[in-house]
Amino acid sequence: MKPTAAVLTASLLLTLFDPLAAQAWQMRGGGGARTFVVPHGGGGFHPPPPHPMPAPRPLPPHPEPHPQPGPHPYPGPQPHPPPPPGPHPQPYPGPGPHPYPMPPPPPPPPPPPDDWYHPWATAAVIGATTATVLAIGTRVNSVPVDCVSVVANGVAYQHCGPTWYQPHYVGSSVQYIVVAAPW
Amino acid sequence: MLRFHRIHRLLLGLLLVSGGAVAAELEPKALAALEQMGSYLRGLQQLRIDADSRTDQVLENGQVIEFNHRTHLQARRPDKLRVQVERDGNRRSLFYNGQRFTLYDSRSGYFTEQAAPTDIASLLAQLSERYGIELPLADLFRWDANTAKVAGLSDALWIDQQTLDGQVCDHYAYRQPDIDWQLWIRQGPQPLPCRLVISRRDSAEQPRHSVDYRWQLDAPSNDRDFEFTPPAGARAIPLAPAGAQP
Repeated sequence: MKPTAAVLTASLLLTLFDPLAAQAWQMRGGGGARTFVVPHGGGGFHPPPPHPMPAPRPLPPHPEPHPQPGPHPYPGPQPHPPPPPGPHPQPYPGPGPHPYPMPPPPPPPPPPPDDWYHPWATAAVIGATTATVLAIGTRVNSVPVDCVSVVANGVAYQHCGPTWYQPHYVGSSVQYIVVAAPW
Repeated sequence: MLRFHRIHRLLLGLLLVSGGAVAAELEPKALAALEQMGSYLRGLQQLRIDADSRTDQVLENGQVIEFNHRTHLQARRPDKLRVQVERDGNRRSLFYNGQRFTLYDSRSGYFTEQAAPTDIASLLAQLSERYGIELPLADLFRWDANTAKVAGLSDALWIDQQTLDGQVCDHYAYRQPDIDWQLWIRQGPQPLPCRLVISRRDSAEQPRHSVDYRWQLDAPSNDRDFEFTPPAGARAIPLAPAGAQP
């Protein structure tokens, strides 16, 4: 086999076997079906009725499962432009569950109450290779496939090149948060 | 002139028809059916549900995609519960044995185990309030005399009756803020949900979630069914309180 053909075959195989590389699509955050009828009253992040869904807030669609790469405040486009000067000093009224303006650091996506039926398994992955360096505090819903599961001092980690993740359950789903190396 | 009158009459007729369709209607029969179902479900001493569901997700380009799941729920009063949601070989579970509850995700191999209250109702409250976890299929068990108001039902209609999976079921349609939903309830002395469909009205794509229920009320359950045994390689991790940064 010629070297070029071998390289091509190898990269084709990699594409086939690496689910991260194969996924070209992303789900819209908060865009999915609602799986419950009775509004949830309890949980910390479930707004009370009459706003039963935390997801469909009046924001432009905002890709959910790829959190911002760093905790640094970004001066980029704010989701809500400042209110125009007018007779109404308070254009966004009410003690709603999502106060405006949004705080500068991007909030990690809370798991929706529909969590059990959300296909996290196929959700987009940030840092698709272990070589990607991620800021401490970054949260993701899955980690690259070539990460190594490690237990250090009784704590479970995923070790991925320069990055260490600590898994937690958030709601009924596992989330991974980038932490400092345990050694 | 004659034509004008005719058009006028036609417009008036249309107005009346559309007016009739828009008016909210809460049929007592459709409301009572929900309460009867809820009360019956809450009275069951033990149950098993195998449910097949289809849940829409929306891609960033607006295209609607369907995902299928199978949910298994097994419960025995007062203090045993197991829930498993499976898709394509991956399984997420909750086990409750009366003392502790465990969440397990087969894809990651991680589980978390926590102290639990002494009955299912308290467990559900704690899961919701402390951890933001709502159990799948638990929804319809909550339905009582107050729920129509809490949910903000504006329309409740009996549509027809249909035979689903060999059971004759009454088909109802409900409307409340953000969602339209349909429910099929088994006729006769066991008013169990046969099928549920929820459509979001607050999203242009109107993503849907539909569930087909299969019930077993007399299948005996073993205490072992509610115990979690960590598979080889499974590892324990913490569970973050709702709203907290772990």
